[in-house]
Amino acid sequence: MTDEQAMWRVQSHDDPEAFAEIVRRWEGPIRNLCQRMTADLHRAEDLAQETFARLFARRREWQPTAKLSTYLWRIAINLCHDENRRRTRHGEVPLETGEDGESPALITVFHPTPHDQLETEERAEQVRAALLRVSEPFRTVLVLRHYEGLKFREIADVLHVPEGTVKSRMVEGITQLTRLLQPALSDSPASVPSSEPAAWQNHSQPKARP
Amino acid sequence: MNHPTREDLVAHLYDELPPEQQTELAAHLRECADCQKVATAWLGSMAELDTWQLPVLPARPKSTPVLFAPFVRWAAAACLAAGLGFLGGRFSAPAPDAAALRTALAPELIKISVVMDAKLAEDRRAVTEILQTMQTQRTEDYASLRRALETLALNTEDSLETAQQQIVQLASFTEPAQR
Repeated sequence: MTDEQAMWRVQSHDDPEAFAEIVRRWEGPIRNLCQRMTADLHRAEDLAQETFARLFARRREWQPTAKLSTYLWRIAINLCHDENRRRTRHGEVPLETGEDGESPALITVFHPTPHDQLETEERAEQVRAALLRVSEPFRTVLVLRHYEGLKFREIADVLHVPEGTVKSRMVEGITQLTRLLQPALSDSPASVPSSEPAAWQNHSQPKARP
Repeated sequence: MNHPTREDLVAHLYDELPPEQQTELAAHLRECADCQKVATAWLGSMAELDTWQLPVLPARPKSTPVLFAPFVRWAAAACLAAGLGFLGGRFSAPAPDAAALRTALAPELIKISVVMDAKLAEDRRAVTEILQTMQTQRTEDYASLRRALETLALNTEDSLETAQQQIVQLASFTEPAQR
């Protein structure tokens, strides 16, 4: 049973088994997206639950000709935006800019430790912090493209914007991220050394979606 | 080849250009140090992004509807507890002696029966009084209405006679001759 078939059963028969199947398939990707967007596992779990609750509540609005995944991503993205706006308003997380509205501080230079695991965790933390400081429209595209593996065309469908706009946002997002990570990148073994001219040809492939 | 747009460059890094354009852009990158520098920096960021891995949480059992599972579990537990309590109470209590219970309750039941009969009789009297009062009132209202209608009929008859006379006079009226 495809996602769309399952959703059709939910829409027309309120089928709990079909809905449970959709939740089972998409719970992980949606939670991951929410976690990438909010950098908070617990909130991400709540947001994922809310996404599915909203999907069920709005099951009649879903058009059977549309892809369910697009509909789901859109709901989740909107919830993440709302959550980030709420947290910014309440001063819970300083997003995108530093105090007093100045440009965000650069990520501190990473000093390798003898412990590989600790090193990886620290670098991941740097990336998490840097990504959180990338402005939200650009972060959304970065997360959907890089982590969730959506094509630019699909992201355009989710966000209701032209594909060219998605690519422009991707450029801006990765530029902001590169600027934020620059000190760490210059010391990090994960970065591609500029002395290897053909290294860019061996870049990692985008991840496959579920 | 001219420098590619930054949008094309990022699409190239994610393998989203058509094959011919991919090849063309790759050839350009081999020869253009400026574009290569940008691409290398972006690839570095992409590699860094991969370092942030999320923990893989255990998958839930397929047959459990995720959203409702906690509620179902709690509801089942509540039903089970209530059922066990009822059954425990039912089987632990001693069986009642029906004959003794009837004998003990008989005087009380008779008293209650007498009181209820008295109350019923009292209610019946009250209802009868109310009905009689209503009947009297209705008769008076009827007589009053009849009198009013008779008066109205007489007055109307008088008015009609007067109007008839006036019509007759008007019909027999002749205009005086002009000089």
